[in-house]
Amino acid sequence: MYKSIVKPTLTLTLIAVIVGALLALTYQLTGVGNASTGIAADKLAEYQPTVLPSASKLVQANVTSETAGFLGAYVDEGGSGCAINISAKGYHGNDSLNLLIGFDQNGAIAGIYAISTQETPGVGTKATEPDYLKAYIGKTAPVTVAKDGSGDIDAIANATVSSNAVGDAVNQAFSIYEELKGELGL
Amino acid sequence: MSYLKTFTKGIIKENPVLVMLLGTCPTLAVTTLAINGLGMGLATTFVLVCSNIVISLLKNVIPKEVRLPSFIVIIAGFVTFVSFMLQSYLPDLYSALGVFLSLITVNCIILGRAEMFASKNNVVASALDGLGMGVGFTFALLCIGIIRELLGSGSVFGFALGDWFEPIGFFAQSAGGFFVFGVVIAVVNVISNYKISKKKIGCANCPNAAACGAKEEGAEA
Repeated sequence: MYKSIVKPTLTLTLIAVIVGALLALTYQLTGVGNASTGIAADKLAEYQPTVLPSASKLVQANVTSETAGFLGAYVDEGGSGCAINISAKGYHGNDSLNLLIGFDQNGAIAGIYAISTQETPGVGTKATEPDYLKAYIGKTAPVTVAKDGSGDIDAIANATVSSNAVGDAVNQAFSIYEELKGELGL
Repeated sequence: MSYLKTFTKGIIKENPVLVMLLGTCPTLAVTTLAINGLGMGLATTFVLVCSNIVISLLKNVIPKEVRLPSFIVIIAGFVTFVSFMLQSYLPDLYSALGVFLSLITVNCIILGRAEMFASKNNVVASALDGLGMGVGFTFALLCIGIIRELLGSGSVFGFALGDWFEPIGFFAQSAGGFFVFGVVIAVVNVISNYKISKKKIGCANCPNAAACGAKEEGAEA
């Protein structure tokens, strides 16, 4: 009884507990779970011409917001605007859209870059492509997305949910911008 | 078997991919670029060496009824460790390997070495066996990766060959992967002088004979 049931069970449990504890330690030490590390400087330089073409150099701003989806804020050293990194609900669930949205000095959109998305390839991803996102440039809050041409932005046929998700994310970013613009010095 | 042989047998003679035909799934999936093949190979080698050492140390502690789940828990632990490390230090490689990184856990090479070798041999031999098998796996992935990247994308380790070479898209797709895989296996068979085909078919001539229990329990240990 002990040898055939208790001992194997205890050994396997013990191994699983030890491995689990060591992994928890590694998780803490490597900081994989920390979302607040922000966008790396070289990536930021790559996104900057799309997001805020007038900027000289984007740097991470030491501000935080309790608004849902806020990942980080970046300001231009030359003072021409800022960019807000936001995660939002896409077609494939919460936090499946990761956008970097640039704002000029007047609070209008200067550019949008989709850092990562989980939209359906070839369908929903059309709503995150650079050419489509250019339509947002110059828009101010609130942005409306409609498929019949009555909104500020036209939704993409067959990708209405993804198009609306981008619009919602942008409006969310507008409210974060309003909240933080004082702290960002704009 | 000498320690040197324990190490070198994994590279050509018992190469896990090209002779034993284990781990074919990651081999075909990640070898579209040479650098991904190399990264996958090194990650697997690390897991293989670590899990072989730990399993060899614990071989008398783990009851035989639960040895497979115990091996898998230990292997999964090391795989998760590697994926945390890559995620925080090499995020580009992490996203290139994607789901295949987590699938190292169920790579039959690792469980195969744990069951066939590490659970029957001492720590030093097990570590060398893991290292040899890992080097063999990395070597195979690198070969296939270089050929597929060269023909399929017209570059070597990301350096483009130039405009004169028109890449053949077929080699970047899975069918091309199978094709290159077969050719590399054929070449390895030629290099090893048809050793396998010249001999009679039977347990003793199987490349797995040294580790397989069917021939003689622990004969090579």
